[in-house]
Amino acid sequence: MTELQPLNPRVTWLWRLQGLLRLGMVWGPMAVGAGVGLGMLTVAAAGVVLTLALLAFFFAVAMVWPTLEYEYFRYAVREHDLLVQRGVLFRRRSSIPHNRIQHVDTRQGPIERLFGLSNVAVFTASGMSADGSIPGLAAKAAEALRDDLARLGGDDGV
Amino acid sequence: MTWRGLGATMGSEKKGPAEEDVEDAATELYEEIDLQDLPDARPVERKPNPLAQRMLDLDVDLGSHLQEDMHELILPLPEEGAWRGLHPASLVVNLIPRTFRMVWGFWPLLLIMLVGGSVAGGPGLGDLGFVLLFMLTGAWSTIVHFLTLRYRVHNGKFEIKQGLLNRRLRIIDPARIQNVGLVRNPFHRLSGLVEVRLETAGDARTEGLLSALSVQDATLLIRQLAALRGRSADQSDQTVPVLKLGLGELVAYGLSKPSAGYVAVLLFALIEVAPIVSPNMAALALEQLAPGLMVGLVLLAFALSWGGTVLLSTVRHYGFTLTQEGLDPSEEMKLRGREGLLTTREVVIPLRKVQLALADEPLVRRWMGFGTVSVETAGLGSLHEGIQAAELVVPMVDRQQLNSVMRSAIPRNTVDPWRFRLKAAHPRALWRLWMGTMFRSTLLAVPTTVLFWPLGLLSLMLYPLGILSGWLDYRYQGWLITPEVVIARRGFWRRRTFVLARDKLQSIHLVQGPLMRGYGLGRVVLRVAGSQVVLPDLAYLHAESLLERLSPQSDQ
Repeated sequence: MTELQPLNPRVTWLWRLQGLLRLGMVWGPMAVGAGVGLGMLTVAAAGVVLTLALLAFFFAVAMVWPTLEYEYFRYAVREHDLLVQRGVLFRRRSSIPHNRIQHVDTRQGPIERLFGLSNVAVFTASGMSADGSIPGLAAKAAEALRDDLARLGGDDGV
Repeated sequence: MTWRGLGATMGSEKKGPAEEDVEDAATELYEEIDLQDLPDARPVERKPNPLAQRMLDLDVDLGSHLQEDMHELILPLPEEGAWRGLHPASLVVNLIPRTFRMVWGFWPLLLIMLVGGSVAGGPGLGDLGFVLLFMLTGAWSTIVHFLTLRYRVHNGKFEIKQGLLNRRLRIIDPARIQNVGLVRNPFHRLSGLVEVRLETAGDARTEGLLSALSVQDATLLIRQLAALRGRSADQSDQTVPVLKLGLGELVAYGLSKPSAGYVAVLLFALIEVAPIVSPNMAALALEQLAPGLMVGLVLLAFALSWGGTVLLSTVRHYGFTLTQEGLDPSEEMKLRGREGLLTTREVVIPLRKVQLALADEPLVRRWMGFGTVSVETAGLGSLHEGIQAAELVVPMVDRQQLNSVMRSAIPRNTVDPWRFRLKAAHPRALWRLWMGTMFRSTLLAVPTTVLFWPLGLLSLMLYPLGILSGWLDYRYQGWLITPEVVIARRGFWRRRTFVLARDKLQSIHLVQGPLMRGYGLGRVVLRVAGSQVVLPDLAYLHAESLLERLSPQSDQ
């Protein structure tokens, strides 16, 4: 069996940055809103404590979670299929036979470009979301993987 | 022979007729091309063709109700590549259904008109203007549809183009057509026309919808497409009737359908319409309604909606017949379903396109001794009432025949799931089920008890009910893997048995949530084109080995 590959370690920093952005745009305002609400209902100090506690919690999650996710994320291009395993709480291991791959995309957003990383998404005819998605690969490695996967083909079972 | 899960028998998988022409499937399904540079769509003059005379002698199969028409045909075979349009009578045939669909699409507006009308004291001039606008738009779109829709078979591909301002051309590879449907509504019947639906995979819209063709045009098209796929479109001599449904079975089917939704609609309509028809009467009735009378009215609404469901489903599935064709090795095996009293539908599915067969046995239907079988291909039919994944639904199948009907769709399955004891879920799966039930019951019972004390205590009944329900659910779960198919069964209230061909598997997934991890369980999810099947929870290591062994490379 082919060795399972980890992602590029830089991806943890990409995820942390994305986590911080989410913290600033979604979780932060929510924490402040919850604090203000509690402060108005009880005393102002309680609201401040709640806001700080929530912010500290979300910050810790944004910093630690990517490490956990990186630790469990593995993929392998094997002889007959692409194997992807991911997830921290809800784990998923997917096997996508090469001959069932309809198309392979590489995507790179502005933040990903900053880190020199790319996302490879693999689609089959199942008609659902991408069956396999490998988020943090060095741009060159992602292109090579995309071309490798796209080259292998065969009966698509439809 | 007993299949012991994934035994040593793997590797004996036969290649069915399904695989032979899928190899060249790399071609594009269809392309959308800007038509600005193409010449305008004009009806092409039909020239008589000597081939047409020969075709007169052929017995073309388009269903018994269409066959009568076929004997009187004069068939002008189109030249290769000549654009053809809809039948002129399509203007009449399409007008009412298209206008109706347009009105249906704007139902919130109509509702506002209805309610607004009641406030203003009846429909006013503005409302009439709206109605007129709808009708004119309907008529306009019908005319544009007729004038611009053109199709042809060109360079081995089926092409269809339409649209006045927003023009589009679709090119469909005949090898990619999942199934061919023929539909006749009452307007089609009166004018002797037929609607042809060609469904391909990967798109929710019905590809190549030809709304009103003459029977001979439809026949020629189907023949041309079949010829391009290297198959014969003729009905084989070896046609085997699989099932024919009688009136009694259809009525029983309607009776076993849940109809509570209709009650809500009916009650809502009653509440909305009554004050409009007669405001004084409605107010008076509301004042004088005794609780007993109210219950009576609700029961009446139930009875009416039940009756309506029975009537609708009987009309829809009237005269349902299922036949299997092409048993001769030289021909393509097909399933053909015909049904309908007012609108006749005919669906032909090549067996090599079948992704999975599903037997659905809801509790009431199961008690009656019946189940419903759906056959799914990768084609997604977007009919006017929404996306339908199942192309062929056999509404009422006697339990004794469930397996034979399922096998007519997937003949490679040699195991009868109703006689063979399927493998059970892991015993710890029951504990996991119970934990989930306890959690949900607590979420419901605690606030209910607090808010509605002491009556709320009744909500504690959720716990024993949840335990019983979980146990029943667990007991009826089952799975089995043979070299050819995967069988999975779930559910007590609504027991569903899936049979899917292994050579159609698109991807295999192993999932595990935190609770499952606590119990050392894993769940295998199998995806085929357009659908997915979940196996019961198994020990994680076992599920892991299934993931490895179900991947098609193990037996190809």
